[in-house]
Amino acid sequence: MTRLRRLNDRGIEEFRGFLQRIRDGEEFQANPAILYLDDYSQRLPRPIEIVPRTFASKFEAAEYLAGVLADVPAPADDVGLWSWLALFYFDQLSPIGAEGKRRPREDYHYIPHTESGGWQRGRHLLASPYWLFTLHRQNARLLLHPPVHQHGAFIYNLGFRRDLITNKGLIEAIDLLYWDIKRNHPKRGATTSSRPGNLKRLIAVIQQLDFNYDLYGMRADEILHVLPPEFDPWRPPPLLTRSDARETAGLTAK
Amino acid sequence: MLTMLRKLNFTERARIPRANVRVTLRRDAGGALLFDPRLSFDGIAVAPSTRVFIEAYYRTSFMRFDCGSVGHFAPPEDRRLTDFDSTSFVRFRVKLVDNEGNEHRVVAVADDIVVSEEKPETAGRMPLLPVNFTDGLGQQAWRIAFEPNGPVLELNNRLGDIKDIAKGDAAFFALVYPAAVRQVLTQILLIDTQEAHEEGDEWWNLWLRWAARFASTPLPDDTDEAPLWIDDVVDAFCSQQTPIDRWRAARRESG
Repeated sequence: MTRLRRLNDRGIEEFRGFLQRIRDGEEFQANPAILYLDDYSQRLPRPIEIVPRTFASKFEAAEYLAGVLADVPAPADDVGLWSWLALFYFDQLSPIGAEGKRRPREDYHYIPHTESGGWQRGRHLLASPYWLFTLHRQNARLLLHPPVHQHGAFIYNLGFRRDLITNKGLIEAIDLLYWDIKRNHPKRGATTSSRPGNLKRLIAVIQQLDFNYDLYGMRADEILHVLPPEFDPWRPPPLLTRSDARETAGLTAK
Repeated sequence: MLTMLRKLNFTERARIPRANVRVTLRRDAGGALLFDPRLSFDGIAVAPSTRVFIEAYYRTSFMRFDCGSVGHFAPPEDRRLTDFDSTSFVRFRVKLVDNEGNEHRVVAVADDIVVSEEKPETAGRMPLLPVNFTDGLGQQAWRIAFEPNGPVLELNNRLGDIKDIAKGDAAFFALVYPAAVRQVLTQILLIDTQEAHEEGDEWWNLWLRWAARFASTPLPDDTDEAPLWIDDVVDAFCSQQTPIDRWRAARRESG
């Protein structure tokens, strides 16, 4: 068990140097001292225990972190907190590649970039999945199915548009269309640009529908209802849509 | 004169006149950016039960606020733009939604209401080149960013007095604005190859109509001639604004 900490300005600068030295060919040293030295990082006011573990997917990492951080504020722009976590799990966020080396990506994958609206924002490999999980819970599984060090096509295509990625009804509709419940994996061809009704086509259609429909205020089943026939092969069986099921069971507040 | 094309509106929604929308940006005691909206629904034929939503956006940032209905306009108490961290510049969209029968139809909209912290009162007029003071330019002093809703002049916050420089420095004006005008018109005519519409309110239409006021010749149909037309516009813009004379005068005063 390790007590969760927050990198200070000096620790963040050291982390940037650490990333550059690895890019320059230096060996990766697991658990660097700056994680634990008071000159570089501080404990949180409230003790939070965290364990080193291997995550099978971004979803698993986000679910674990949501549990660990349940009682502490952890906004995505808490640079010190998310930088510390990225360094703590760095061996997974920058795994050894086929050529036997780690090749860290741009700094903003590990140290949050907080400038409003910048495209690098939301690219942190732990803070972004955590935020998506807290927003969409189970419906984030499609967005978060890739390994923890990758973004994946769904986040890549949807992540630039906050009006889409924060639309709960739309994200549930996308999950209903493209998640294969039996395989517990995205449906084959969902991001293949040559397939009718693929994700990019859905985004284009959604942007057209946005002129006439208040999509942000619509439930998943209402969004599915206004999609053109191009998306019919992707639709779940009508009685299996979760919104319908919840209403049938009287679980949805009207 | 511009070559003008007519434009048709195929959507069913009405346009909320810009004069009906007034949005102010300010900071609260804790430094958080927040907005104050004032809307008028005069002249918009919708039912009092029509829902009102205000959406704030800039690049990838987005927040939405439920503001009640046309008959009972009630913006929420918490109007902090917490998704907008270090920007001083926000775009707003006002949506009127008919939700009778759960149809969620957008019946009227006012989009691209540009508001900056430095010029808080915005209504009716839309700035052609809004300014955004940003931390994200590295060692670049300025840059034109082409957003979906038009160009933005980004200025580097790391120059501590950049806001004062942008407001009144003659050298800044001389070095930045003619180049910015040239870059925007090049983007419109040579890269995006846009055509001007008679009534369009797209950003490139507004820019071409503004530029046409300076040009001595009609907008050319042939893109090969566009660079000459752009030169003509920039030259006329500088002749009107006299940036060199102003810069020299400023140097005399400071020397």
